[in-house]
Parts: sequence; C-alpha cells; structure tokens
Amino acid sequence: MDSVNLQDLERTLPRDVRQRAQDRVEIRRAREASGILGRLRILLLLLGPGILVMIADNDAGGVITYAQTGASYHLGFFIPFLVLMIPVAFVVQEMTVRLGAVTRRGHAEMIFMRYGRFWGTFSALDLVIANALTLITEFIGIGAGLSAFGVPLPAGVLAGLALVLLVTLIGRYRLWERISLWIALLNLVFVPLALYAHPNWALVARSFGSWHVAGGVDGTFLMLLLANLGTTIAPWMLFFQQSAVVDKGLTPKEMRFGRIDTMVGGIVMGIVALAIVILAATVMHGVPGSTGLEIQNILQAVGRRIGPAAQSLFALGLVEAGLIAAMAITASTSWAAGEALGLRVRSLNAKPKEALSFYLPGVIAATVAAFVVLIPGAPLGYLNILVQVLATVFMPAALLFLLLLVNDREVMGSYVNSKLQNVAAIGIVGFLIVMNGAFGASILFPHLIR
Amino acid sequence: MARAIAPDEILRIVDEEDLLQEPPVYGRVAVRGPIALVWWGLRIYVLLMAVLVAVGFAHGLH
Repeated sequence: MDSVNLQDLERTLPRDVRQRAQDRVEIRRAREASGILGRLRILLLLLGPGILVMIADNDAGGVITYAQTGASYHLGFFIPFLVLMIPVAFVVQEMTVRLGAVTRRGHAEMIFMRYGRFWGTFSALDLVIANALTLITEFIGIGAGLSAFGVPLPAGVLAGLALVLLVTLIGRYRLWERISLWIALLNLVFVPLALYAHPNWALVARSFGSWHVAGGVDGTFLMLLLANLGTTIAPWMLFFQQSAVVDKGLTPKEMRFGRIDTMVGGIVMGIVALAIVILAATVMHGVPGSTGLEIQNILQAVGRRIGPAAQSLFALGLVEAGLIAAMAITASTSWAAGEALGLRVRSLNAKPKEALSFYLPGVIAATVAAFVVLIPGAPLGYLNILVQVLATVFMPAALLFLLLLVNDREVMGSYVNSKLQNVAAIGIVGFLIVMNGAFGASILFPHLIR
Repeated sequence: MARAIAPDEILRIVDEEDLLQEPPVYGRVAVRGPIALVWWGLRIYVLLMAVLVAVGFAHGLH
C-alpha cells in the first residue's frame, strides 16, 4: 500500500485510538532500545497515573489536615503513622493498576458490567458525593493560597477553575498527564520549608519508638486520625488510577512499571505529608490560636515564624495541591460517569466537541464546587476536615468491590490477589471500620473517650 | 530529537495491540449470600457514620 493510502487509512482511526497508538509506538521504540537508557525511557513514558494519584492525594484538604495534625499533636504518633500510610496507599492503589491493565476497563465500568446496574449505581453515587465535596475543598485551597498573593478570593477561585477546565479539555491524555506532573512537582515545596524551619530531628526519630499522643486519645485525635487516613486513601483514587491506567494504555506486560510508578508516588506522597506535619509541629505547636481550622491561621503562623517568603511558598504549595487534585478529580468524575453511562468515547484523548457527554460531568462538578466556595459565610475550615473524614466512611464499601474484582479469577486470571495482598487489604478495611466506630462512639458517648 | 511516527507504524501497532478491539466483556455475577450481607452492612454503616460525623461536626468536635 502506498504512503498516501496509509495516511488516509490512519486518518480514519478514531482520534482517541490514534492518540493512544502514538503513545504505544513511543513505548515500543523505547522497548526496542537496549540498555539502561532504553529502560529509563520506558519508565519515564509509563510513569504518570501512580505519581499523579498519590501527589493529588496530598490535596488542599490534605495539606490543611497535615498542618492541623502537626500543630495539634506535635512530633509524635502521626510521624510513624504517616510512614505506615505509604504501604497502605500502595496496597490499595496497586490493585487498581492490575485491574485496569488486565481488563482495559475503568473501575465504575467493571462494577456495572460484573455486578449490574443496581450495585454500580450505588458505587457511582458514593463517588459523585465524595468527589463533589472533595472538589470544594480544592477550590478552597486554591482561593486561600492565591489570596496570600493579594488575589481576591473570587478571582483566585475562578482563575483556578479556568486552568482546571483548560487542562482537562486539552483533548490529549499524554499532554494532560505531563502538564499535571509538572504542576505536581510544586508539591515538593513543603520539603525545603520543613528543613528551613529547623525541626527537632531527635524528637522526630524518637517518635518512631514512642508513638506518643500529645494530650492523649480524645475525639479530636480520632477525628484527625481519620482525616489523615482519608487523605491517604480515598474512593476517587481507585476510580482515577484505574481509568488513567486504561486511558494510558498500560498492558499487563508493563505492570511492573505501573507498580514502580505507584511506589514512587507513594514515597513522594509520604515525604511531603511528613514535611508538612513536621513544619507545622515546629512552627505552630503550642502557639495560641494555631489549632483553628482556618487556612489563613496556618499561613499567618508560617509567615510569623519563618518569614514572608516561607508564607508565600506555603501558599504556592497550597495552590498547587488544590489545582492538581481538582484536575485529577475532574478527570475521575468524567471517566466514572462516562463508564457508568456506557459512553463509547470516554478518553481524555477525545476532542471536547466530539465527546461533550464525556467531559460534561467533570466540568459541571468542578464548576459547581468552585461556586460553592464563593458562597458568603460558608464554613470552609470545617468542610476541609469533614471531607477527609467522610472519605474514610465511603472507603470500605468502595474497597469491597475492588477486592471482589481483583479476586475474581475469571476476570484477573493469574493476576488475582495473593493471600498476603488480601490479608493486607482486609486489614485496611477492618482498621477503617474500627477507627470510624471509635470516632462514632466518641460522639455518642463523649465521657468514654475524653 | 524524537523520530516522527509514520502512519504505517500507527496502523501496525493498532493491529498488533488490538487497539480497535473492544476490551473483553465480562458476564454478570450475582451479588448474594455473605457478600450481599456485607455490602448491605456497609451501606447501613455509611449512613450511620455520615449522620454521626455530621452530628459531631455540628456539635463542634473540632
């Protein structure tokens, strides 16, 4: 066939297929290149969903939760606890990599296909509620962060919304992913900030031995424990990573790279989370009024203790945290709705005008969330922590279907969960339920838990 | 600089990796027995916890 005919034939391919094919050609070329450079190139091409999901997990609500944790509980229990959260997040997210690579279908789609509309609708509803609430917290973070640079709240929130929509509607998964990864790099800004605060490293090291809870276990401790759990593993993350793995075109042969991607993301997530807790513990613990939930209090405390440049950097990190998570959750909402509705085209490789019904749910969710933040007098500080806690409430139900799917030999073949993976995952579900129960008991019977 | 991707490379990979092929279809399985019980238990748990968390926050547990 001559080259003109080949070009004509290539142009007849659906846009999303053509784009994915281009990505796959690059991966194949990297695979054919020998040596360490070839392997590094494959890794760089395949990195993405894991790092993005984990860094987006350190979202605006997460930053505030970690800061609150450090300010309230200093350098004790939460330091080793957050280190422990790295393998927890990996165990959960790795299952979605396997499921996506083997089935080439998103999480919502698999639940609908395997268990039917009734169960699928419940799962999708949980996700929509959790995503809508989480998106609100991202725009709170973006607005508050930009306000530190003198941008009025409405202008900051609307600018954030415009950027999120612009990147989402770019019509090319790879470009969306690369832009997101560059923005995600800013998440690391909290690490030099923590180092610059000159924390007491001896106390940090001792916390691994003592797991000391400053002030004892009470309702606030349980709430922050749940909020830290909720900011580490959340339902949107399951749906996001599986859909991203599918949209990226990861195959079972490349699962190893998907695991590395997820592990690297988990480690970065843990380091940044620890940096924020250590920073807040160093500059805010014991300062009157610093344990309030308002972001402005946190920003001011950082500014007072380490200077205005540090305050600006923290604010920049907050904007990044909100932006990256808003972009991920907007995409996750579109993917999940597209899968639940059975749309043929449900890819970020599709042009918006050709896949309006795919993009619309994400666009609507992000827009509504941004406008909620602009409602005068909305209790934004409470909402941040509330959303993290609610994520842990929804998580066991979401994990149940994930566990059923990754243990389904008809679906997964030899890629089913090992016994150890099941023990770890069931342990996580059990821990979530027990901690939620303890928090519930502390509300019903406040005299039992101080 | 990266080598341009020729149309024949695209068409070859589409063919070799079945990119035009729909992903595998999985049949329905019933959610019943202990799994249905666990699932309904989790629904009730979600409802109860959502109410408790709302009550906790309304009463200023923060």
